[in-house]
Amino acid sequence: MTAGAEGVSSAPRRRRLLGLLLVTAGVAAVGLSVAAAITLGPADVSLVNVRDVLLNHLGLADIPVRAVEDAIVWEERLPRALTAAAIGVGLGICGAVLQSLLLNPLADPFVLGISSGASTGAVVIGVFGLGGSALGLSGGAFVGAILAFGLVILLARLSGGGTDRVILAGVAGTQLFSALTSFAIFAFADSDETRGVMFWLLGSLEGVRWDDVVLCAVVVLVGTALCFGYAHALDAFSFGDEVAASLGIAVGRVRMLLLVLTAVITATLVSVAGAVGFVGLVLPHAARFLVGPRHARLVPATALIGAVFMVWVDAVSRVAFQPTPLPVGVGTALVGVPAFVLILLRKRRVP
Amino acid sequence: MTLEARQVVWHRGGALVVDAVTLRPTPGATIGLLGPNGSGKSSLLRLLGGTGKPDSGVVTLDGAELGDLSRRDVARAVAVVSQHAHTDTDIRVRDVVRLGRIPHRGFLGATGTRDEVAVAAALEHTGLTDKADRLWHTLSGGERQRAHIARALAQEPRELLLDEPTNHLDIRHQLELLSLVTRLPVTSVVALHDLNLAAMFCDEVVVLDRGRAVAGGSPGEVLTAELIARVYGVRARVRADERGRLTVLFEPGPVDVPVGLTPDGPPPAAT
Repeated sequence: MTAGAEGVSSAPRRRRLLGLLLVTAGVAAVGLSVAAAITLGPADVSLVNVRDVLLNHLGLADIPVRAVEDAIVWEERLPRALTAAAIGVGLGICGAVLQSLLLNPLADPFVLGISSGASTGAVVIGVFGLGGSALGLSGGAFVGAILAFGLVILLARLSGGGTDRVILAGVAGTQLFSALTSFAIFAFADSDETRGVMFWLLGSLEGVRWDDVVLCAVVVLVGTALCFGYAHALDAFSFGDEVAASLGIAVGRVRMLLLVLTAVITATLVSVAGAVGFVGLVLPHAARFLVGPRHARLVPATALIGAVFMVWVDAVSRVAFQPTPLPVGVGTALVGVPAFVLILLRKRRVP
Repeated sequence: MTLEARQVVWHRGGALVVDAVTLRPTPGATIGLLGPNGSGKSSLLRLLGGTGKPDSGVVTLDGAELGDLSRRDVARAVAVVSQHAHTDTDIRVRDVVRLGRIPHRGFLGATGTRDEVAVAAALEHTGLTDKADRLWHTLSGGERQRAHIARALAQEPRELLLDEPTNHLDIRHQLELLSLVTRLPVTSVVALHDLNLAAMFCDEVVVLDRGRAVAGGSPGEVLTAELIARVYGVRARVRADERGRLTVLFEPGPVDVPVGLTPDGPPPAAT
């Protein structure tokens, strides 16, 4: 080592400072993206209008703004952009965690049957109207997602419990609940009900309200903080359970905790906006491409990239085919697939 | 004190894999675990590392049962290099070695000076300093094995458990690696296939056969032609040179048939 004691001791501090700087820049990028996304749409709103409305509502100013603009910004576009950001963060983080825990680069937040469970739950409420008024489509989706996850984990446990068993149980659960959803729609739904459920299944941020924002934000922020706290444990899983155990990780307990955490985050987001596809699969890979596989960097990077990505995809989906909005799940796939292909090509390995 | 196994018995998948084995390594010594495939070497190492729980008997670390200690406390004292640990992530060698610092960190522990020093020392010990920024999937089998050992060294353990660490290594790296292990100020338990390497580097050897420890002691006492014939089922001659260093020479042909009377199969070589 030629670096000497001084070089060794200052390097980690410098890196931490750089990390802090990058995170600050990322948060600023998210804020700017949200502000810019709000200006997009059929009704003309400028960045200045956005600033005025925000300052008014935060009680920092009292600037006269037209009521229409105030309503569009505060009641419609801002909650929608913030929910999109939360979905980007949450699904991205869940994907990163599951890819590490299950040692599978193809894992995404829906690999454990959560999205199909949610769809079954939503269909049961939407088509049969079971407990409809109390729960609503979202409540049904949340309950369905958690039930499906529980069933998948139970199945994995009963069959021995390794990572491959968890994935196989997830495949079985996904297929089962997809079939139940299709069956219910085929046998019982009329065309209006079908369209409503389908639109939501593709992922949609239509009609998102402030209570959705609060719910998503709280769940996602707490979830992200916990995942960041377990960053080292997630690193330890990269060579499998046995190495993780030899590095002092209580493998069974930590894995179950993180699986339940991803299930709660995903179920919450799916219940608000449907199964927005592809984000959870692609974003962790994009982040890994930029900052490497260590989770202390990967978790914040995925969160920030996810937020920016989803805000813009949602904004574009909203305005691209005016006046008909494109379901945001379609938008994420249309943008995400080419991005994914690019990453794969850039990362091409020499055999 | 340190790490000990007393009368441990372990069944895996209905089969008895470790049968009443007792192991009390001398602190600082290098212990060779010998025995044919399936004799229970890896299983015994898993029990010692605490990733397996014995059905009866106990494994203790400084007198405390492994099951009563947290995984983290065990990992601060005992490092394991298992076989076939592979990853598909694009991880760099330095980051693999950094994994070894995990048990020394807290919930939100950041990398500190001590971590960096331990990682640099582990890379240096294993000759990987100039390969620290290489990606895992570009390494040769031997380099991967050395990276795992560097990761275990970064853990700064008192006990090092290695499961056939010389697999996939050429002879020079086999010799380098085992002399590294013997030089380290730790107690090492090493599962080995090569009896000559065991004789060369181990202070003590334990021979396992179908889960039972059938012999233990210094290589000179344990590695006899009779024992090799009984446990491995092959004929061998064991020579000691003037400095007392053992060489095991193997001979073709089955054990029980006297020379010259093999009805089918090639006759055994004369020398």
